[in-house]
Amino acid sequence: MTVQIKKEELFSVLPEHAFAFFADTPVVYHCHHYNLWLDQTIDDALGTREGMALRTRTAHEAFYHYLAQLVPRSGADTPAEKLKVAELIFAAMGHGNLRLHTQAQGGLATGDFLHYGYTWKEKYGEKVRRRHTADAVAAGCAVAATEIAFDLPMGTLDVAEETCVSLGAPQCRFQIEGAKQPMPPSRPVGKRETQRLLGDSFSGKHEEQIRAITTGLRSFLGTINSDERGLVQGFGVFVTLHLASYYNGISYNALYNIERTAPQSFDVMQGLLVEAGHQCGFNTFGGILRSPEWEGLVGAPTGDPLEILIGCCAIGRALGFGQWTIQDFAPDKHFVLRTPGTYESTYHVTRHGLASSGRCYLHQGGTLAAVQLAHRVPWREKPTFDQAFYRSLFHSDPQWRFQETHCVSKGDDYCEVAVERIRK
Amino acid sequence: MQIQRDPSCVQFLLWRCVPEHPRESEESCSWIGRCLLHAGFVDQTRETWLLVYEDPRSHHQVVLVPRTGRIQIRVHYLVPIAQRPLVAFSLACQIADFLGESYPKAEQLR
Repeated sequence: MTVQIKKEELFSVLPEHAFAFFADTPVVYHCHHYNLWLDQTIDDALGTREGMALRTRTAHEAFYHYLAQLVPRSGADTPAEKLKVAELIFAAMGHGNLRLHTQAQGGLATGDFLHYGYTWKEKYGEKVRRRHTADAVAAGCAVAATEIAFDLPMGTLDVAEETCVSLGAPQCRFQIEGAKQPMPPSRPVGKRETQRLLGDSFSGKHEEQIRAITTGLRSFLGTINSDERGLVQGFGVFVTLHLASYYNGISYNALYNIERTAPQSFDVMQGLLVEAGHQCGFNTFGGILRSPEWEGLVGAPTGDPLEILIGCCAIGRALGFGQWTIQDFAPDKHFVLRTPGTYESTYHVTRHGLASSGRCYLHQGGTLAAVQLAHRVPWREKPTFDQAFYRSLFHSDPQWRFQETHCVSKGDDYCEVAVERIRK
Repeated sequence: MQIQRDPSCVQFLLWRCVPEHPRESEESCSWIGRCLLHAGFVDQTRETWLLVYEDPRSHHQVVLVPRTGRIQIRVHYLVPIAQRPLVAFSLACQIADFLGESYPKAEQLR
């Protein structure tokens, strides 16, 4: 039989909370700038060896739960068909072309144009020499798909990336074999768990404008397909539809590992996770705001700070970050962004319980980036958003400070970030 | 006609064409679209606010924004990096012809 993935049947949105799901699994759109930066943050914090192990294990777990939901709905029957479904869905999500030549006891997987390795090479290849493989996500998907295809419990198999394009190899290769150590069982954080934590939604200022742009963006995102490489290139970035559990799993496990082993560095780790969110907001939101797609849908940015913030709220919603609303804004003074929940807080409460302070690092960094985009970018000059521009804006002069004043992770009814101008 | 790397350009893939003589945006996009179809491009437009035309042989695209008149050239990724500016230049010349404008200058490709 021919396997089929009916995207429109499997993809769902909670529009009032701006969360997206694929096969009842929380998903979000993120670009390669954020993906690479967050992975590097984890490796910097834990060391390369432990960081890679955590990232691979987290991807393994996230894809296992995801494929366990997805594969039965695809009509796939035999192991070969189930492996094919995993390959197709991986490429459809913009992660590249993965080929699984595996049996129940393991085997080989190969990858071409894998999102992480390929985009690392594109972004840093000419300037930085990498010393370790880059594709923990593809590795995790390959091993999870093999377990699902052969009806094996999670953790039966293990995986290692042997060659990687980011290291100069022509192709990425993964060896899958019997696991030497068992993997602790885990429960998925799916649509049901997420919905259980969500209170009533609400709106904020300029709601009509934000809603209209969000609808247009969602509609447009729905028409985007991956190319022959299994990549999605749009808005000047490589975009992935990614499992929220992967981002949350690596971020919170690394954070709490640091809290246990080096508590004095806990705040630094929080700062690094916020910086990843800031990179995301600046590059992805900035890329979208400069794109022909945005210009066609909304118009070219004029540089009015309110117009940029309205746009950023719509982008945050369309990407699945949560129902971003403007609660308060005074140009050049302060900005308050509130949402009934984020994909971070719902995961945190389900997996880690309540925290003593806010835990939405993407939300914090993203909100700060929105304010920076609104106030510090000379939009009419059409600047190039490269690393030099980023450094010139943020390296030495912060100008704005932020605080996550409310967070579902600490028992509040909503998540809120307040950003305030630093007066000198 | 001027040609410049688009602010969001990575690896010389995205280019912006800026006509010397301002025209009514919607009318101009519609005219360029018709000319591209005549030249063998295929209409891949999915939303009316963003017109997309693709050359079925090379897969290069021309993207037009009726609201603002923005013209973007998207060179296909299979073209080697060193050749991408020349491909963009050639497409820009084609668009210049459609609009009756002079060709862009080669030094703008840097």
